[in-house]
Amino acid sequence: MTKRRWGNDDAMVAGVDGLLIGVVIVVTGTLLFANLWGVLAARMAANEAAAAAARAYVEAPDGASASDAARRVAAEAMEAHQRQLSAIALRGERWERCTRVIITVETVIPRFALPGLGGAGQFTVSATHSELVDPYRSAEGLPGEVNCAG
Amino acid sequence: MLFPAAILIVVLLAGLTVDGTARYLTHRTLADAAQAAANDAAGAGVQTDEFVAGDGVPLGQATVERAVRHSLAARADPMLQDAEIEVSIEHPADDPDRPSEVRVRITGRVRGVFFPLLSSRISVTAVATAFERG
Repeated sequence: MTKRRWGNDDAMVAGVDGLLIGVVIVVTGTLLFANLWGVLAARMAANEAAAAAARAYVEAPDGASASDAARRVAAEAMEAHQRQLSAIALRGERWERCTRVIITVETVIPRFALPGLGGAGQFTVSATHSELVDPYRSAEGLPGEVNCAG
Repeated sequence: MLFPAAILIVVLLAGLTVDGTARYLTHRTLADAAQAAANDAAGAGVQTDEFVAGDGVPLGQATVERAVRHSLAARADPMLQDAEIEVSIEHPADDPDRPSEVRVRITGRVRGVFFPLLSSRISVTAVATAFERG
């Protein structure tokens, strides 16, 4: 009986190669999925913030505080998602019955983020939401006609 | 042989991930838009004269449709540009306690990497309903 020697690693090459490719597939796939989910999460956060801000505007007790309330609520909604509110724009700002306020919320996310290394560049994710000031609101001093058909 | 197969797997998985994300995002966008439009329409669509006369809370088709159209246009979202929009109002004549109902149904097209290769049109639909109570 001869003693077998294990000094040669020729048979291992194919296995190591496959393992390496497998690791690359898993790592690449995970990073891709995580980055795409980051975009989705940012979009959902921005959308939620815009909707909350629009609701705060139309439900404000008076016209003077409506814009501030919308901005504050949008910032709070983004903060709840651990994100920075980079910009908010209010269009059609008229606190009157049947008028529409359009709110756009923006946040920035890394273009391609690597764990522990940060991201390469960044891009803006935005969401817009609009809402009518309820024609039948009982708020004191709310101007405008109680009829949206006209 | 192994490496091309691995690349193919990576490309397929990446395509599925991107397309799945696009489909999810499109559905969320349409659902949010439908919800906001239905909510606006239920408030704005009340026919004031009939309401004041005490005839329940009737909703006018033209006013409701206009409110939905304006709500969707205000979003200025490219996903809504070629979407099909259906607006319906249900007046429960048999049950006076049941409120009138506005239903907004939006069907939009999903843009992806592999979806266009599989079919010319992959679409998702979102439906939202809002009630108006007196």
